[in-house]
Amino acid sequence: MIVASRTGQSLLGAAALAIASMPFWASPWHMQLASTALVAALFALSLQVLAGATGLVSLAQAGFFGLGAYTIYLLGSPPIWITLPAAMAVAGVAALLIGPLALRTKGFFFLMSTLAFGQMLFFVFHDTPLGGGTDGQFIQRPAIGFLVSRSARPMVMLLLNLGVLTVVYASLCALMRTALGHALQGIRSNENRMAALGHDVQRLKLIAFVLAGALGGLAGHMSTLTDGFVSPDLLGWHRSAEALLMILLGGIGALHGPILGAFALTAIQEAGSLITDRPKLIEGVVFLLAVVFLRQGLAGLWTRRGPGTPIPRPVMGAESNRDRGGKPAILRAESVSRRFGGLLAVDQVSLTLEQGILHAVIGPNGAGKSTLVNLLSGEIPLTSGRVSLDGRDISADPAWKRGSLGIGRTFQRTNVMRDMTVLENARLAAQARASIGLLRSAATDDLVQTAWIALDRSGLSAMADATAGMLSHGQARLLEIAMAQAGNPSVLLLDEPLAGLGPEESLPVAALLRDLAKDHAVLLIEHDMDVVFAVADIVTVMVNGRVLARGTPAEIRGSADVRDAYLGHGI
Amino acid sequence: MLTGVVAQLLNGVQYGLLLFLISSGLTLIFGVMGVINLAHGSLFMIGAYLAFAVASATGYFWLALPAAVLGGLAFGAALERTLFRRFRTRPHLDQVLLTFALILLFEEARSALLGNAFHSVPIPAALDFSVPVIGGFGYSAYRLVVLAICLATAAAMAWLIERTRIGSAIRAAAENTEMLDLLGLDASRIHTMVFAAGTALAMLAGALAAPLQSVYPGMGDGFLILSFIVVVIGGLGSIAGAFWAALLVGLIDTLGKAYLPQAAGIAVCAMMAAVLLWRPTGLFGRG
Amino acid sequence: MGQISRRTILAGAAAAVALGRPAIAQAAPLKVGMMLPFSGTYAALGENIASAFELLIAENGGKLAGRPVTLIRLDDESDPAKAPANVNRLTERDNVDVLLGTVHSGVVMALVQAAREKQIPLFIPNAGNVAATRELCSPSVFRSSFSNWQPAYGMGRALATRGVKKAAWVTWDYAAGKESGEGFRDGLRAGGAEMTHQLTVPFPETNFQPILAQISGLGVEAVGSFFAGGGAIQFVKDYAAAGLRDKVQLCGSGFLTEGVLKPQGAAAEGILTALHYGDGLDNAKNLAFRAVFKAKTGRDADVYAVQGYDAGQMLLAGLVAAKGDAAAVQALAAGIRAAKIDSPRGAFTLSASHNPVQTIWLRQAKDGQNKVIGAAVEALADPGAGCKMAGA
Repeated sequence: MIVASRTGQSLLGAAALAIASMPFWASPWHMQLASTALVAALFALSLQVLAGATGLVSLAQAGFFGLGAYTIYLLGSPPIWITLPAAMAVAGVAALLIGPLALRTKGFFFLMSTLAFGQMLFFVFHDTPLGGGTDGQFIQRPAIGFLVSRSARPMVMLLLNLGVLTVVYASLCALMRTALGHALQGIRSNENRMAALGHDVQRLKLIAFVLAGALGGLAGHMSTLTDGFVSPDLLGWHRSAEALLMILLGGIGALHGPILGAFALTAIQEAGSLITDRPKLIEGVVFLLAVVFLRQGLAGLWTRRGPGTPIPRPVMGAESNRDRGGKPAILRAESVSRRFGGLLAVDQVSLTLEQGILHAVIGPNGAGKSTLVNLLSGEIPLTSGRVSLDGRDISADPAWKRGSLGIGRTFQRTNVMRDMTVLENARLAAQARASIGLLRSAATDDLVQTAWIALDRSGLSAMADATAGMLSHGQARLLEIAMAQAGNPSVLLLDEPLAGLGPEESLPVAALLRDLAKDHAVLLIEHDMDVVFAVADIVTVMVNGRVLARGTPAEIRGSADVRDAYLGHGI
Repeated sequence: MLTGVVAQLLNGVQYGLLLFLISSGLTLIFGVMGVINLAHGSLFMIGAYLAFAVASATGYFWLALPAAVLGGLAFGAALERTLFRRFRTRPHLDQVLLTFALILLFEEARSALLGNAFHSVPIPAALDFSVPVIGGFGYSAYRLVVLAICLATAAAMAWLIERTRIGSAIRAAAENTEMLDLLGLDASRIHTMVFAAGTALAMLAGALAAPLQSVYPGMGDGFLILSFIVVVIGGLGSIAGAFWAALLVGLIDTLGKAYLPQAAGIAVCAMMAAVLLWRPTGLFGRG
Repeated sequence: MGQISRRTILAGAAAAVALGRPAIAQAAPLKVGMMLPFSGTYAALGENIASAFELLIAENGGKLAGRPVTLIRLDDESDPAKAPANVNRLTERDNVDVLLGTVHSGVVMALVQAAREKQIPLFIPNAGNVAATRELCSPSVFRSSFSNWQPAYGMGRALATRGVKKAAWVTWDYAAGKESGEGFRDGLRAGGAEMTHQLTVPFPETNFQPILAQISGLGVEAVGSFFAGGGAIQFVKDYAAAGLRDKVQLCGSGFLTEGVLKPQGAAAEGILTALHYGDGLDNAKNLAFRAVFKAKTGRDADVYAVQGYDAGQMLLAGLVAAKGDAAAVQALAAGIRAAKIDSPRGAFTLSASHNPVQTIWLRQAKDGQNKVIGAAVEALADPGAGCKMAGA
């Protein structure tokens, strides 16, 4: 998510000042038009918290908008300092109830389940007497003291809407810089990896959903205060789709995209109604052109896509994260099995990982090595058996929970937040296990420092500000390892960290592995026998999901069984 | 009471089968091409208007059915070649924006070409009678024919998908796009065919529905949401899923209206929510 | 008058800004904002209302009470959520003196609100929500059409007169349908009959099979209904297809067969409806109106055209009384209340709550026409309950 640059923010500020000065030069109509655009911007911005920042596209947003609107009607139009928080609270609570259900689904299914929940809210106001009927109801506008005269209303509402939008936008800019903001963007980029790092992804998504819902309610509240009229159509899914259009038009990749989009759409509609009797035709043509030619939306016209402002490296303290204190970690797997349909991918495997010992698992393709890693990290549930960390049974814990308990891992296929920088990737890894408040700045020195140390150790410091998706294969493998250790785990599960690396690149990584084993319990999956025999303390050989042999490298090297198994598999 | 229930069940099945025609195209296009097409409801409307135009120009309603199928194949192929091809790999949201623009443009074109009046396509005279079902409740013969045509289409699709080479290619594509290349099949031809077939199915549904309901601006809107619900409940890309889900939605919608009218609006949405909570990728969805 | 182009409005607006709000002069153009559906499901209705209103102004040489008339069309898209902004377009951007609109009863609420707050005269050429001329009545709000209660009351009353004892009401589950249902019930009751069932379908659903399957088991002699447009076509066709047409008399508010008889075809034969108008009304005014409308537009006039035309007549009567000053709402209202509107539907006056006091005609669909077969109720006024007219 791009937060506008300093120049961009200045331009937005100038536009806000221009709007604020409208009472001096604009007609009441233009003030009302601006108010309409401001409320639309607020609504689209509320959805951007989900769509742009977290990567969740919801069609329930109009439902929360409508709840905020109807709150004024249902409360009987008390003053604004009651209705405003009430509207946000009602919409927020509704989001809190709907969120956990809707968030069980992902992607297109999330879109559809939010559509269903949004339409259910719509039907509540459309088909039951709660909201005063299908035709809608007038609102007695809450007294705001100075909001008495009708002629002053366009001006007062304009300034009020502008003020609310400014506060919300500024707060969201700040939010994007917090640990929470970064975590949400991490989820948008790569949800599974975020969970593997130990982030409680469901909880973070729910926070975003509730925040978006409450802001949507705020938008509905301001809309109704402006228009003085509520109708069930405010909750219809078209309204959500329209907000989505504004976001796309303005740019889904930028926090200010929805604001640009809302003003652009308002201008298009107004221009359309001025020059033709068929404004929809204009809208259709503009959307078509926009989607074909304006891939990043309006915001993309003058914002180059790329990493954010580089974060300066903090002055290093003397401390290092190597010393965790406490007793060394032990991860124990007891007779773990996993069945896929008729296939027993992992069959009764037991092993122990201890700090200071590098435990390698080798075996032919399809032996179940990666499945074993996924069972230990919690990516896939056990069919039977038990996994414990330092004596605590973690068999039922999901991946993020195990990550947060100190199990770090890398993936066989590079799995990082591709559109974030190398440093941001490492920092999100560090953040997962650091007990900092979600609203603290993500750029706190200790987090950044932890991330730098991990990059240093992996030899990636020079690439800190590069976008992760642009790294070479070898660098990406190193980033995998850096991320795994930045979370300061006690156990490291490394799934083929050397896969695809040439001999030149392998050497430093092998040295790194040896180094990591000093202060971590390490499980290494690896095909390259030379590396395995060079770095491993213990080697387990798996064939067909079972443990065939276990011993020191020398013992394994000399085992006839192992040689047969490997030869039998053509390796 | 029994009469009522039997009639409602018949209605639900007939309504569900019509829904199946629309949503099978939607689910195929989504499953094989990964394209979300919001303009699918407009294709339904175009089919109905085409039926109106053909029936009023020639006096023969039956000509409208091949016209809708052939017109749909041509129109769908043209749309895929000119527009949707480029959007296959774009994010879903871009597809949403594109197809939303198409809805607006189709509506405007319809308004400019054919006006805004309500039209009706008469039920073919040969079928304009009621077939007595039990207990004196008559059931429209035309509706029974529609039911039969829908079933025949569903059977033909099942045969095509399960038993033919093209069908296996389509199944492979729905499973994994790269699979097509592995099988040495021309992916772009498959995509054009699938999009054309989906369009033809929606337009055929529109033509069949024309005599049942009137032909009017925005007539496809209601079907759009319902058919998306069918696609989701059935599981993306699954024809069998779309079939059973369409029947389920048709029955629940119809029975809900009959026996719990206040809750009918919520019922279908609630059912989709329930299915998704139970099986987050739909009844016939993969993983 | 003239259908001025958008650019002229812009130029005019610029001039108006330069001069400040011009004092009302006899010669200053009267701006009428026509907020009607020009796209979507109700587009055909909006077109006929607008055309008939324009016809009335053309018949008066493009002037009303000496003031040239400028018409501004705005498509309301029948979208209530956009209605407040659309009303502002007319009242604030275009500074209209008079509002005309609309068809959709949710959208009309925003118009009523503007008319009440800004005291801009509003003429409602269709939307029948009873509230507009009951609790929300205002000196600046006038209706040239009907309240939902009226035609259905007429239908109920006529059924009772014809000896029906028990009838059911079928409608979309929304305000207009329910308000009509109350009229039907009141009408039946006034004639000593009873409304025994009310069946609803969610709006705007057109799958009526579930409802139809229940009807034969209800034991009623007649079914009254409120549907319009596409829903009306389908309901009538489905009703016949279900074999109910010859068993239970179908009747309803006139919209059931209004403007949709042709597509309904033979299925509509024999349906009884009650409305404040019928195409075949045999009076000189109606015959002349229909001829002129057809000549001007090439389309047949219908009840919507009549309502649009009469909105113009009411505006004319009020403007004459207010000496051309549309802002003099009390004088305008007094003029309209005192007038007898010579409508194609038959002359009518306005009630104290500004809703027509009119004859509700009983019509029967025959050979593709709604044949008027008599008056269901003469000079029927909406109860107007809850109307407290400020300054009236």
